[in-house]
Amino acid sequence: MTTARLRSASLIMPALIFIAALFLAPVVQILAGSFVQVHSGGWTLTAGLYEAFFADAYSWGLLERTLRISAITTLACLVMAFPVALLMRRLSSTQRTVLAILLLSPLLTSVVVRTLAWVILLGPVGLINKTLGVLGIAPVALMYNDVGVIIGLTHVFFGYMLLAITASMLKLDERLMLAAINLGASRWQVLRTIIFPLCLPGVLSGSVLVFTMSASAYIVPVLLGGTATKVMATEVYDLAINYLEWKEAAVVAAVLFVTVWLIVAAVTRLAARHERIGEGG
Amino acid sequence: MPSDNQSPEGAFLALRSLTKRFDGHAAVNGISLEVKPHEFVSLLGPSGGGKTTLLHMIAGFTEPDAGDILIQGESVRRWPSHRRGAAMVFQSYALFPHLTVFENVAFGLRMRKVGNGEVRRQVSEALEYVRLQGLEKRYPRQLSGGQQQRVALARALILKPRLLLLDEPLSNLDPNLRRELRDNFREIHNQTRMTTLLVTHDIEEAFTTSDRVAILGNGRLEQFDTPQAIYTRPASAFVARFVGHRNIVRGTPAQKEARHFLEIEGTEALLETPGTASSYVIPMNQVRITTDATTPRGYAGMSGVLEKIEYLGALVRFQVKSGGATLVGECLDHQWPVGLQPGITTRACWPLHRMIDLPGAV
Repeated sequence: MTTARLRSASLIMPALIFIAALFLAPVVQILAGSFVQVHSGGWTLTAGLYEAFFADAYSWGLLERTLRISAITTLACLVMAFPVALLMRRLSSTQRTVLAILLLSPLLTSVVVRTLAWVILLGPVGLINKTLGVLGIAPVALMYNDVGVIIGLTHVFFGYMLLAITASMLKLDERLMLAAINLGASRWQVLRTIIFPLCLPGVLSGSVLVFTMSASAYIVPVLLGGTATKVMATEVYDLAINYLEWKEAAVVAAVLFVTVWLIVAAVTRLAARHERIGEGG
Repeated sequence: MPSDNQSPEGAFLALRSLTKRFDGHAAVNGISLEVKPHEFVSLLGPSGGGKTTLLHMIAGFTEPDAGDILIQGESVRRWPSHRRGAAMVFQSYALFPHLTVFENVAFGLRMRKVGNGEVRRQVSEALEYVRLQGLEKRYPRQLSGGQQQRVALARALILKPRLLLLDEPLSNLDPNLRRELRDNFREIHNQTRMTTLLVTHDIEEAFTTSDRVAILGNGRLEQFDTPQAIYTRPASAFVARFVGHRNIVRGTPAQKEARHFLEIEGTEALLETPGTASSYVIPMNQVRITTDATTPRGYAGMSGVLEKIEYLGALVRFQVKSGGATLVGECLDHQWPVGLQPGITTRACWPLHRMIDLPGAV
């Protein structure tokens, strides 16, 4: 290695040592632990805990709910953030900054506080159900079920989706839209044939962000899902802290990690292919 | 200059007192002009002069605040862009980066829901016309600048427009490519005879391509004429400066012992007849430099210090400073008097009949 390369390598060393010692090592230790079975004669390598996990219908239910909630949250964020990003394009840069600050200011509050606010709104005797009661409408279950978790997660992660889509929206050349209009495209056709395909990289990166964060979210499912709506993250906590089953907890964490990683890898590949097409060559 | 009262007969495109304000500032301020059928017209002016706004109003991207736009005698002011039959080629072409060459060219037909077979036939015809067969499956970024230009042209021409609008299509390109692509536009025009409007800030581009040039400054039409007329008879000091004249001087008539003079920047030029008070342009290529003390008959002259000599290749440009006035001259390289060095006192003279009277300018 040349001195120049050594010097550049030394720049990443502090961060690398930090990550390796405080993040990678414990993760590797826990993952390794989930494959090891200790008995009187020593220890053996086994995938038994994973077999047990996948043999249990309850586990599949957890995984399915986690992925479903994450997918719906991602879609909800996308559907709401895209029109706002479209609006961002039309604003002057001052107006855009003001709107961005207004929309992203919730990010400055702690997740716990924001989620508790939703409890006040969505709870069985919350503001919404009280209002419905006054109007003579039967109360609806907006909390302690998937709906509550999805509402909470969408609120928490909307900003990330908006930032990702706005970034690619602002890169769009105004002339592309004028050209399309000049060639007879209606507003809807401009959106469908020009704006949306060209914003796809932002849509995909926003979706990856929101999906992974939703899949590993803990506080929102605990507060708005309660014990009835367990997801992988809350299960990990329960197993590790309440039942002291560290190995089982590690199995759940590993399955969640690998599943999310596979989905993200697939989506990223799709995005990369799209990018190649867009840029040509 | 065409006026509002002029009959639109014979005009293919007529603009009537067109005005557009942005935040109270008039980007286009009461512009009227008429373009004849098959004419190639340039809208030339410095940036911020209103030329792109004007083009966008003709294309239907921007609604005028006042005035009217007539194409073939019909007001199109309230028509949507695509119904006007005015196809636009944009700066850096604005090809759709995520679509192939084929789909870029087919875009207009697709928006009109033309059937697949007909789209294929028309696109291959258009690509053949711009000599791009075989590149259907490429993406814009895989093409050279020249090829991109031809895709943009094919995309615009496939809808058989009545009017071709070119919005600074050649800026951001290197000079050699510009020249080549500029010739392309003129060639296409010669073949299609389509009435064409080119927006540019490049004088050479406007002059070499266009039948007539409209000079725009501060949202107003300064002059609309052939390139030659604009260069040799600029209508205002603004136009004169914009097309490259650098010697704009003030002349005051004077009389001494029954002889008429024109006082220019402290020097006196002998006249045959009484002169008029006016601003004048002295074309750079008419200025001669000499070490003789006398000025030939029919010439005006000015003594001064040779300040600067610039070698431009084919031309030599020089500056003579006399009092507060600086005169810039150009002569062919081989005509440059050998041995003249900056700092020496010389005489600059120019033929009186070559001076251009600037009407209106004071």
